[in-house]
Amino acid sequence: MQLGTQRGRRFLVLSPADNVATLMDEDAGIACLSDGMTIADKVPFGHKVSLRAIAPGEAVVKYGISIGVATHPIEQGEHVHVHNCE
Amino acid sequence: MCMSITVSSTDLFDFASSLEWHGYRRSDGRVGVRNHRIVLSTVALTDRLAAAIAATDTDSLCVMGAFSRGLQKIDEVMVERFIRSVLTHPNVGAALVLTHDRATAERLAREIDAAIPIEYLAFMQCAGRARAVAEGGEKLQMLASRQNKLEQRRTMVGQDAVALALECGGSDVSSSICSNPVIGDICDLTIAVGGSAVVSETAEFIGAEAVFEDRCPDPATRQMVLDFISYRARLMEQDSGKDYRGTNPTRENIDGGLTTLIEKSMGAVSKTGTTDFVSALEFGMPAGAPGLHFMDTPFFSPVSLTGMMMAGCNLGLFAMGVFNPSGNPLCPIIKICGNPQTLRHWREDIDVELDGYFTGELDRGGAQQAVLARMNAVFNGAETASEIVGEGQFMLPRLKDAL
Repeated sequence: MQLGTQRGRRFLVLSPADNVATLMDEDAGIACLSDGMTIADKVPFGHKVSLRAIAPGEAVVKYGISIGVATHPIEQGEHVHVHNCE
Repeated sequence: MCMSITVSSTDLFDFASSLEWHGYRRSDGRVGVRNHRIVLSTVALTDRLAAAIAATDTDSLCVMGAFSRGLQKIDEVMVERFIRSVLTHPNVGAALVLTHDRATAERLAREIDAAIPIEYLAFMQCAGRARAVAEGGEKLQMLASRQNKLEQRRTMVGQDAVALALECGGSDVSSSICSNPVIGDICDLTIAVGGSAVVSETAEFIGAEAVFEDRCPDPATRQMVLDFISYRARLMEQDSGKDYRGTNPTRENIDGGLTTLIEKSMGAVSKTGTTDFVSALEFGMPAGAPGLHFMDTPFFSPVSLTGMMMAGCNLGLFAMGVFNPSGNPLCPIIKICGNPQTLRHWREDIDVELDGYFTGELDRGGAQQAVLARMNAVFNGAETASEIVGEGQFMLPRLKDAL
């Protein structure tokens, strides 16, 4: 995995309906996506960050379907995982 | 570079329409992508004989599964289903069928109505092993000349002749976000042009029941798929004493970034694309109609690939994360991998390399075209990595104790 000259992290949105993106590189020290959106740092490869704020009880959408619900308020750019989604 | 994707389906359709498909059209209308002359061993007792006979003809393929006798009804049905499905498989052009006793050979000859030249040989009727091998070799030569007379050869067919087996193995992040979704795009394309696809490995869909609620318009099909899934979930529970749903995703999955069971299952689901399921099939049953089919199989890939081959699939797409050697000798399996670590050591076993998806050199449209181009080449005769090394087995699930 390499970042090249880009300043942000590579990411993947699997469906236009998704509210999370999957990180495609291992540059966990960089705190923004390649499109400039600020994200949490130290998010590992293959993990998710939110593309917008997600309220508690709201669906977390990946592959265009609900893969779980937010258990806490999730801010834009936050790491979305077992600590705030189930 | 932003990797946010727009599925470039227009590009994919344009690219697909530029391709020509050449296959072996059988008299029942189905299309083979291979024209194997097989030596089929119907029982383990004739497996060694089958290998010895096949060795006399370099163009032949040995098909054996260490099949037992004294099987209880459902297992006996499976073996019969296997024999029939192989002899009517579109990738088979001629067959020498080996049985132990004459009665079985006579019964199969009477019952099986295949569109290809078939010869039978009963081991017990032969005058010794050397004579058996010689007699089998002669029958193979006879079959070869009958194939020549029939002028079995490739002709131009439509892309609707594609009957895909959808598989994933050694699954990881790369297969769940790259190889599987791209296979799903190709599955959608295949079905849009009138082809068919089968997905199996029921246990992979535990947690993704909602997908089938949405994508099975026929209530009977929907109920069958949900019953298949809950049966496998119960089996796991009985075996391990643990609730699958409570113990998945595993710690390893969570470390990899998977948060929920449905997210884990969606990796496998995503290889089915977005179309509705038209039928739910028991193991090894034929998938006659165009469209997407669900087949109930165990998760072990040699078994599930055997099941989908039996359904009549003439080609397979296999999303590989970490290395998995599976193939199927009758149904060419195209191995697709995006994991750079796997590619470093296993390039020779992989047909389509998608690591560029992670380095930013390949977008989803490019990945789709890479898979479709390889699928087209293999359809038209190019050997897959697993065909080159002769990888793959024929394995049936065993459901009951034998006598």
